[in-house]
Amino acid sequence: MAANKGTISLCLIVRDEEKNLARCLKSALGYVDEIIVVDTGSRDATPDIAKSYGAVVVHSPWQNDFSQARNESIKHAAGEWVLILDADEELPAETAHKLRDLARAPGVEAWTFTIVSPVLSRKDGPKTKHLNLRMFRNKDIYRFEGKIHEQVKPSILRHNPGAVIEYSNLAIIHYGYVRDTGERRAKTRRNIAILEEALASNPADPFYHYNLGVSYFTLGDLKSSRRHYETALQHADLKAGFAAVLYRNYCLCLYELGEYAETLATADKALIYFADYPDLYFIKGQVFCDLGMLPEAKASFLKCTRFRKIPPEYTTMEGVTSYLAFENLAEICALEGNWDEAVDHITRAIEHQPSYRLLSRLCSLLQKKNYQGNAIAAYLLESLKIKRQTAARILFDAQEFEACLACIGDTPAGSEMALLKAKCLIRLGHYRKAAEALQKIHPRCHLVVEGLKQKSLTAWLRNPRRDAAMPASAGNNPGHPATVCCQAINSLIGSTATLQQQDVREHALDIALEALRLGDRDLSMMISLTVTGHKIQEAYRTLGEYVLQKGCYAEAKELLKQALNSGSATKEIYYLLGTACANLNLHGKAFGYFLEAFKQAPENELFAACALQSLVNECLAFVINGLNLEKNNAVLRQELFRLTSLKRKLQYCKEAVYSADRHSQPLHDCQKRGR
Amino acid sequence: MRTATLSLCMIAKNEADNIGRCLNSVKDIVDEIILVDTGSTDNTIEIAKAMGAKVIEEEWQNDFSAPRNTSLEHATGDWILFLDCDEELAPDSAVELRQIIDNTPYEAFFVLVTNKTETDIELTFPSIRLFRNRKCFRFRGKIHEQIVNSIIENYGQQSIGHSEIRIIHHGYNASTTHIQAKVHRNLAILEGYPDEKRDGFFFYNLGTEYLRLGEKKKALAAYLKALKMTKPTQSYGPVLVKRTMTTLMELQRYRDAVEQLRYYQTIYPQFNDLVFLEAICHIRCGRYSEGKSRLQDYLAMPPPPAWYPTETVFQGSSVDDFMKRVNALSTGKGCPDISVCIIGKNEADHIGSCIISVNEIAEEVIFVDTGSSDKTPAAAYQLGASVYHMPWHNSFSEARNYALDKAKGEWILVLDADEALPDESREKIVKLLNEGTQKGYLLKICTFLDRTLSPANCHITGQCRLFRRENRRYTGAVLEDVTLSFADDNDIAPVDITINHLHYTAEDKHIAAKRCLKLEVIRSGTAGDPLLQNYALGIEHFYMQDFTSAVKCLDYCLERIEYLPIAYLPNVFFYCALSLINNKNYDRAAEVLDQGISLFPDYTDLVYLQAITRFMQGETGGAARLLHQCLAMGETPWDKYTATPGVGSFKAMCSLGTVYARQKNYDEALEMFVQAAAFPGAFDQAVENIVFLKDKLPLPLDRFLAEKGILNDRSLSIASRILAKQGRYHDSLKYLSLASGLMAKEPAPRSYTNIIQAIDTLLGKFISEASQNLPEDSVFTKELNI
Repeated sequence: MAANKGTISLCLIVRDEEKNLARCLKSALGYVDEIIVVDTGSRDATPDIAKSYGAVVVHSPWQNDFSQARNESIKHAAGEWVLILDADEELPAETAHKLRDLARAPGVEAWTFTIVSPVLSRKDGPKTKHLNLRMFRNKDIYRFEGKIHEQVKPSILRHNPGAVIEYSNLAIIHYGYVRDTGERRAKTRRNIAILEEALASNPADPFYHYNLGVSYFTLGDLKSSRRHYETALQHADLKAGFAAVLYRNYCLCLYELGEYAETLATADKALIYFADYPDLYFIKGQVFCDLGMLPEAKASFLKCTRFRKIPPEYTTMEGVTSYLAFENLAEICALEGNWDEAVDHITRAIEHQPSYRLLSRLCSLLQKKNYQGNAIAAYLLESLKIKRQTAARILFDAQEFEACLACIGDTPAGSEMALLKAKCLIRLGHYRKAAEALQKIHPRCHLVVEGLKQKSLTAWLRNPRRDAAMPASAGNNPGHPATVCCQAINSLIGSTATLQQQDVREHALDIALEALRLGDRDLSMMISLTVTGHKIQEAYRTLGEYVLQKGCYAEAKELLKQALNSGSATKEIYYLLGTACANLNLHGKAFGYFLEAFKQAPENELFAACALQSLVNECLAFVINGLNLEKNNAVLRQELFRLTSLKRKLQYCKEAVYSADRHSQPLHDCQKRGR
Repeated sequence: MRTATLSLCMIAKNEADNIGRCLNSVKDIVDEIILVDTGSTDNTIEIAKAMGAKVIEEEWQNDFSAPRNTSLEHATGDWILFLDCDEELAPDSAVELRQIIDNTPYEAFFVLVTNKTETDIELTFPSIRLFRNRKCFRFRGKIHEQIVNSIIENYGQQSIGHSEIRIIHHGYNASTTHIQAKVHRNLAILEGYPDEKRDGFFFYNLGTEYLRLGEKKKALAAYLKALKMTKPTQSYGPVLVKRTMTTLMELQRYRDAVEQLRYYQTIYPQFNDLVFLEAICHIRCGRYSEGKSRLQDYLAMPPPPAWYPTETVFQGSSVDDFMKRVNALSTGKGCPDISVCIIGKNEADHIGSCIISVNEIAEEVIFVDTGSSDKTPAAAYQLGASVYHMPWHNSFSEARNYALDKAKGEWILVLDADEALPDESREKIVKLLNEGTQKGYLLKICTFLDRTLSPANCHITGQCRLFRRENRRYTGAVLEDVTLSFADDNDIAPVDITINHLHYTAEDKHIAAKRCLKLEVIRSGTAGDPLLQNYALGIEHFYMQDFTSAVKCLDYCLERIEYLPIAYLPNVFFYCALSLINNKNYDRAAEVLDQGISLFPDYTDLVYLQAITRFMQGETGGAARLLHQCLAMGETPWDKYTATPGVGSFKAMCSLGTVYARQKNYDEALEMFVQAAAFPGAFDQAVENIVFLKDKLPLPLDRFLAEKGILNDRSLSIASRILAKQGRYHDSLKYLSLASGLMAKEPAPRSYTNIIQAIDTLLGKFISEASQNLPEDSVFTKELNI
């Protein structure tokens, strides 16, 4: 092909990608010389979007063969170079800018890129990285191979064994792994179908098995995933490009399955060959953490932090050598009661990723070190150079109200700070000043609803309770449920009417929770009574459940015990009480409650799993006590592994029950995994 | 005089964990640090630079000499010290090192490298690590690279001095993964070596790498090659010999090891570890007195020269530990001349413990192999037995007599390959033969019926196994007997000496295979004598738990009582009744037992079984009366009958307790169980029964147990387990917690087996209760693999 020097053809294959395609094409526009889009049968606006970006659109029927489609796209490319992207990918600006330089590099036959895949849709969520060949010289002989997880590298190396394939040190962002999209699941199922078909003709192909392992893992079918990884390992050559990643993913799968002993053994085996793979140490650290083997966990995470760089061919989770490892180290030190070291580690983590979560954690650790509010504020603002508004939010969450007020200053910047200021003042008992601060919330800001609730509270919390002098509407929201709710509560204080509408009820409970937090139990129960038709047991139960959902376990436990004492003992109340106790680490009590629930409904899988989990935790305590006396008792060590595995399996069981029946999920889960 | 300058030269890849320690140990005495990094991805380079090193980055080319020599190229000092990152200079060696290089005519020095392990110092050997900075001194060899040859070629062997400078090597102390990674890398290099460069040193290194991987056979093969190609004067010779010997020992080739050790003791007479290893070989084989005398030799030797690899600990045991052991187990010689005769086939599971249990008192061990296809004869040989092979002709007597023919001793001790002498029996035998006057002795053969080897679950029979040789012969193809060759029955006396029969400790499939084979042998060996055949088969079927066949055979014998040798008669009643009871045929069992008791009124087992039969038939009064009778009779005389320990004591007590409980006479029942608990063999069962009566106790269970003096972690764990089985989860947890609390007060090491058994029972019970109500495809059932 007589292409102009340094020209680039972007080639894509697509189907029904109207949601993604524009983002992708926009990121490349102007940095490539032509765009070829092979459409394999879209039923949406995909072809039109492609055309609107000046792409050449080629229709080619889907033949269950990715290579066939890719090669079709290359066939139409006229540039000297081919750049491959998927519709759910995007070029970061830096990568786009440097494409031309790559195309002009002499002697290079192909370029690899780091594909960065966020796993969750939130911005600071975890990201994995892996290496992929995406740009190569446009020659007839270079063609993709494999019906799925198609690769062009083998063909390049076969025709040109001395070909120079360089690492570009540039990233491509891939949104396809975002787990919380249903779209992703559909794609995974489609991939599995293709892979299974490919496997039929080549049943021992380790690469297919590896990819099936990945696909099943994404779907949450860990057992199938494990089976395929194991087959892949049986047949894989250690020199194969994916061998290291295969080991890592297999370890992850085993870890998720709760097979702790096997995870450790596999990670150690993998480290024989891939000693420079920090993710393997990270997984070991997680296993040791779950097992409560803190010194071992610490050593593993410290090892992670010693890596300076990770070979680009390893798939890796962003942060395993930096903020993730430091965060884990901080948590281990916290468990050991070593607050100084914990603060050091969390600070290192924040240096790499200043997320709100880490900052909040820092704050709570500083409190453990007996830092006063103003000292914490100084640490956040001066040492870490955190924005005042963020610092204020963190200080509020840490209940450092004075420091929070100082941080906000006399004239709060914006509605949110005004609301925060009011909330601090309410907590400090300055109701009048709080009401003033609430005036600063812009009437068109959505926070006006919350402001209204707070304003009402400033009246209701007084002794004697006052009329909140309800405005007719909250900001621009006449008839907003919150307004209705507040008006209703205000007019009903002391009377016996009820609030039945669902949306109003939610706001009422929210106010009740706030009142509870502010120490006014009477008010909160009064509100709960109004939403439950003045049935005492129902009021305790409803409020208890709501409070439990918001993570206030001790309060929930007290309310639910009241519920138990004020009427018939239902399985729901037992279950809720069990959950509250389990979250307070009162596993013996939790077991007792769960067992009652289970006895009432032996067919309820969730009750069985919860009861068993508490029982396991209770038994684990004996094992851990023993290990504290005798660290190297082999029998106990084995039991520790066994019981911890069982715990993890039960967690799975519970999650599976929830996800199978989301509507009936009465509560968020009692023991979230991970930290 | 001007002071000589010193350059430290190192190579590294991903040594961030180690390099700081190394550099710290020398930073005050070296004038410069040269580090060649071969591609670290951790912060090795940053650490080295921070500590003042000059760092050169070089691509790794599967060749250790290349980067080493690069480091030499950059060195400017008068002398070179080279260390690995996982090494450090011993703190007290710094001064000596500086002094030595300032005034010496030598070109290079041996220093002592000590391998540090978690337990103790393992191995020290000399190595050239200090030499003058000359262009002609360069490393050779892609791996285990050495500088020594280039020094000798240029200045001769005499230019190398010995020093007392110590370097400590931490490499084998690191995590196993780290070592394995290095081993695999090293093996890859070694395997690429051309044939002409494969010398003794090469094979020595190859063997060592295999050993680190646990590939003992490959290691041994390499070491043996190395030994052939190594002169005793070569510096690594002693290490090689020692590693070869320990590898032989790891492979349980003790006889070969002893032979070789004796040879090398003549080559390296000062090398005391070789004597230590020989002692260990003897101890491992059960020759405790011989081991002891070699240990004493070892302790009497002067310390060896520094360059011999020495160790004071062998696989975690010190000389003192070994000494304590042999002192406890050696019987002292002056023992009568005993030939131990063993016959067997495919007994690899057992032959080792059998021979080890007799070596101390045996003058010779004869093992007649009747056609093994496994490692049995080889194992017997390595443990010192004289091994003979003979074809099997379906006759036990023939094989036993073959062994007797080979024996030369004054006394014969006959064992089966799946038997072993307990430690205390050896002492007793020595004492007996020194003092006794009989020609033959009846010993107690204790057949354990399960893997727990519980004294509460075994059968004891008396057999003549120890006798003066005097041309005794066995007769009978099966149920072979030596007593017929005694003129007078009074020549044989029973003695309280036990032989353990460990048949049931083997793997299940081996047990089954052996039993099948035995049936075949019985059938062919008793062809033409149906009475004897039915007798032998009946007992065999009983042990195979084929009770119906057992009853059939033994019934055949019962119908012909008058033709059966009187010696077999008690067994016919015993095994027939046991089989009938197992088949729940109580009426018939009662009949058989009545007949048996009338013929053998002192056979307690029969009375006991009769009590069980009555109980099962609902006659609690009769059962109680019979059990009291058992207690009055005492245990079955084992020299006359097959005896079950406990039928005259704890078994009868437990059963009596159960009878009383059935009669709702709880006080008496508890009293019986408490009495039974005093017998070690009955403790668990007695406590279990007490827990069953928990609700009838006058006190809370834990207080009751305390009052009766049986409150401990074991009884509490049993309580927890029983209550769990009853679905009383809260109670079960309570006792678990008490057990765990008591256990914490015990000194280490604690045995948590009972507590863990209780935990597992508790969880298992809940899981099975829960899954009963859940569908088979529920996540709960699937995830928990029920």
